[in-house]
Amino acid sequence: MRRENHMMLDEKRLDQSTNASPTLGAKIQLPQRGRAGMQFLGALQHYTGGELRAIARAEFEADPDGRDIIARKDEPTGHGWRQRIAERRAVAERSLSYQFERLYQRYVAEEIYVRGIPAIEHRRAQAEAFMTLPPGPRLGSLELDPNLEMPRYYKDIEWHLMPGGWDGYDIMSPMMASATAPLVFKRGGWAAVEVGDDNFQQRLDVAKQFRAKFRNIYEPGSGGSHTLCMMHRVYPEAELHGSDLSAYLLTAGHISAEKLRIPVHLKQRDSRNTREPNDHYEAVITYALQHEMTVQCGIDTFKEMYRIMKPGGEIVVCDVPPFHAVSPFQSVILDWDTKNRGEPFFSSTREIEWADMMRDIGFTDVEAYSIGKQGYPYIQRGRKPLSI
Amino acid sequence: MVAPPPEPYTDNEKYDALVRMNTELLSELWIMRDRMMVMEHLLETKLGLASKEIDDFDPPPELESKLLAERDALVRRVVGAPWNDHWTVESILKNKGR
Repeated sequence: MRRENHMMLDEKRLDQSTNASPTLGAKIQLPQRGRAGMQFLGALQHYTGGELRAIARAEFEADPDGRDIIARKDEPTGHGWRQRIAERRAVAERSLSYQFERLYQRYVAEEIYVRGIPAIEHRRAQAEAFMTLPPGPRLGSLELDPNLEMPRYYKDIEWHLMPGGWDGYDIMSPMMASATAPLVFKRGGWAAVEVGDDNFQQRLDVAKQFRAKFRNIYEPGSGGSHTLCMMHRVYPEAELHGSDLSAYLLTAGHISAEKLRIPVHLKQRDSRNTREPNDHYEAVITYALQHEMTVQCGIDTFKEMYRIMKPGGEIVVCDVPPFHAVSPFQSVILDWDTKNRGEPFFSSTREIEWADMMRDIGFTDVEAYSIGKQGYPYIQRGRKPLSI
Repeated sequence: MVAPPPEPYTDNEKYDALVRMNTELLSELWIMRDRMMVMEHLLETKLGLASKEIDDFDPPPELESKLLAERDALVRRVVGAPWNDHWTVESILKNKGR
């Protein structure tokens, strides 16, 4: 979910708050067929993810077995989730509303690319210009590493049903910015994002979860730089640094940040080995990254963040809520993404309360809480102790 | 290549297929309605032809006969689809289809 949010920052709003000088230009106007077809998907997902899912949830809660599942209060976290989810899913699937809502959820997840790609191809020249920076000095930097070995867990995955994966289509970023984000995602109702949720506001709310100011911040898995640019909005004085495995996303993120006149420094790195110095960053943020890596990779990433953080520094993690933090019905909705939306690690990483993992690694003052509907966005935050 | 769903969402892949077909048709319907609304807007703003004129338009006989033929053919094709299971060259020419 992190980078299906390729949503470009709302430039006007950003401009109003930061006095930045956006030069990104207006989003690309799609041809009528493409625009209307994408808007139809937005309407379909808005209705089915809202009204139809609410009916399915009510039917789950009215089912005798569903009531029995909801009434159980003594289930431990971290164990037996596959069996528990299977039991819950069997109840949910009795509902025709659930079956159809899931079918439509899948249909929209496929069609945002099936329709979006031909639509943006009609505007290829504009899209290529969107992906190009004019000559001149740069505020930030981009360092790609063509020799970086892609982890086995990451290779060949078509995340979110995206044909070819993150690096599979040269104008995916303008497609997402001009078609998918404003015409479909903006209305909510996908994955953990509820109907009516404002994705832009959610990211801003997450950026505000730090308890202290900082001079520099690092984001592993920074994708299209959307979170770092949002951090700039809240903390305009902070140095912004990020890394990702995807050369395409880093390039798109570099271009976006430069056009927004936000200095962002990006490197192509594995988040388990950032090659950053010890005790350097006063803050770290991760946004919807955990669920896109294996549990072990997530643990190793936290260890690496601990290493590069200054003593006293703070980390804020935002992701989909763990299963224990949502209703039984919602846990079925979240689990569904694993097999049906190109999210192979969604369920395994939701079986864990990562706040516990953070404590085990050494973080202190660790808290876990939700700041949205149905548990999303879910925040885990902690500090690296001043003395170790 | 993006893998197909692991299993049908309605317990029956035929029902899944029918829902997908119906959704594609609904989508096509919306795309056309959207286009009509755009055309009406452009006609009004660029040529001064208000959509009310379309609402109030009484088709002349030569257009009404064309509309009637197209309307009947559409009803026959859609509503009669399950029964249109025998056809000849003559019937295809006559019905512009099955």
